[in-house]
Amino acid sequence: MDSPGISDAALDALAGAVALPINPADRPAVAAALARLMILAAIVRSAEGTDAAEPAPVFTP
Amino acid sequence: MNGALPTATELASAVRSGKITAQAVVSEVLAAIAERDPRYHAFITVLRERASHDAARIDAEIAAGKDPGPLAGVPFAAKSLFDIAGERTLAGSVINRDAPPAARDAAAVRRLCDAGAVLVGTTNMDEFACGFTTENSHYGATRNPRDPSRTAGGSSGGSGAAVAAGLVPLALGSDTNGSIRVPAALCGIFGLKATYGRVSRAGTALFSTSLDHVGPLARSVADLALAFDLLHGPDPDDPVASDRSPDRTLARLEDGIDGLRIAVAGPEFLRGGDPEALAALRAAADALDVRRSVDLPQRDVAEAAATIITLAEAGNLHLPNLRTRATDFDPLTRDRLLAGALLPASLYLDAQRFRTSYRRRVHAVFDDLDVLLTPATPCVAPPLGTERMRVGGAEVAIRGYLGTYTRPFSFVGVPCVTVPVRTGAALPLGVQVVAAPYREIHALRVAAALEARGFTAVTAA
Repeated sequence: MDSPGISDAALDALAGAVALPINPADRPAVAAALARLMILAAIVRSAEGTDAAEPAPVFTP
Repeated sequence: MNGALPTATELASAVRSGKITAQAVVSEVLAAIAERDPRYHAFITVLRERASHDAARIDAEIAAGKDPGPLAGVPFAAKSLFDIAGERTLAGSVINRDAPPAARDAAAVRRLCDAGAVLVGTTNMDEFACGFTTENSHYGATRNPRDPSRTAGGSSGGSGAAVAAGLVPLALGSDTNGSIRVPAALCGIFGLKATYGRVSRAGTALFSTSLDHVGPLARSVADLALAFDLLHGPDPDDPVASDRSPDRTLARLEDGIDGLRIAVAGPEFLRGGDPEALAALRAAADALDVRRSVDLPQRDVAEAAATIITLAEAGNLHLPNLRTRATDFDPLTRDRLLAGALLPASLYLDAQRFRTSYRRRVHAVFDDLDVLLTPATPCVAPPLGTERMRVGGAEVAIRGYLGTYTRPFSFVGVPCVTVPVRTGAALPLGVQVVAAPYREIHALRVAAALEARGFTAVTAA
């Protein structure tokens, strides 16, 4: 059954891309955790003032 | 030793002067762990043979007129993610039981031992450092010495509880999003997360490499400063270690706070906490006569980006085991690591890009400021097993929410000290003292000023 925000098809596609089998018993919790991360990603994406062209591949404080 | 365990500096002084032997100290500490730790479950492994051997060596050095170092005979504990020669680095997992024993001690352990300290055991933690409550399905939960029905915080909860219970005066922990600062606050002790890269992580089981720090937890600011002085400095074995010259902070603690520009972070850092957490912050500010407030916006975005980076890096790190033996992971961490492993790269890079911007903003705050004060946690230690509760007027998933004030600062790698606060509440709370990169001394001076003014309250379990 699809979890809110993450469809079974999306979960299968993402898992297939990294060759990561998801135990059927874990699917609801993983989909829920992924949905929460997508909400956080939307917060980051919509943030004002993210003017850096470069991410921080080697981080220096 | 009679009564409460002395601080590390007091113990070392007594051992070096011959008032007590290292063997007597270690023997008493091992007996206390055997008797009292079953109440707290702070320790995973007690290293009796190694500790007794090392204590005898310290005593022999003193008898021969040699100086074993500034931590002579001081017992300490290390979170179970530090390599210990001859032991498996469990990192709170069962998966690592299959790994070979470590060939040598982690760099941080080595540096303390080289200064005369004696490792007595490894401490409990959330599996692979993924959590803030040290509720571990494999090894059990660590209990808060102030109230054993409550969490000690995490993920360095075993180290926090061991120090707060007076079983050891000093312990090592790690901090990715708050895992030193949160247990220090909830257990009522001091904790230091230094600048990213300042303390070598060589020989530790990493969690999220671009965010991981290691550092000390202690019962006094002097112990914290002494440990930091010994721990930090360049290390070619840690690819992110700073090559910056070491500072010596212990001798400067008495400089006081004259000349330091201190402010309270607000208004975003004044939201989302219980009244007593915010009252503790106000009390600390009053004790320091701080009237200034500085705005540091986008706490929510920094938290979101830190969480994405953490789980993407952790999920990728553990991907081989997630593919072949996911059921061996703790159910409390498994779903988050699996989800992190599935995150598209562009979301991770967006988070890293925001990190660059946020770092610039934090640096700008420190252009005309030396120290920023925030709450360390949004509430006192929750009861063990709590998943959701009301904090700051809203219902939250508490296991993650405990790091709401700490994540934004580890996200940009700046140094922070947790200071335990004397409050009217029965349970401890802490204030987070934040400084500019490589200015640990500023945070430590403020912590020392609070301690000297009688404002701090270290747990005496």
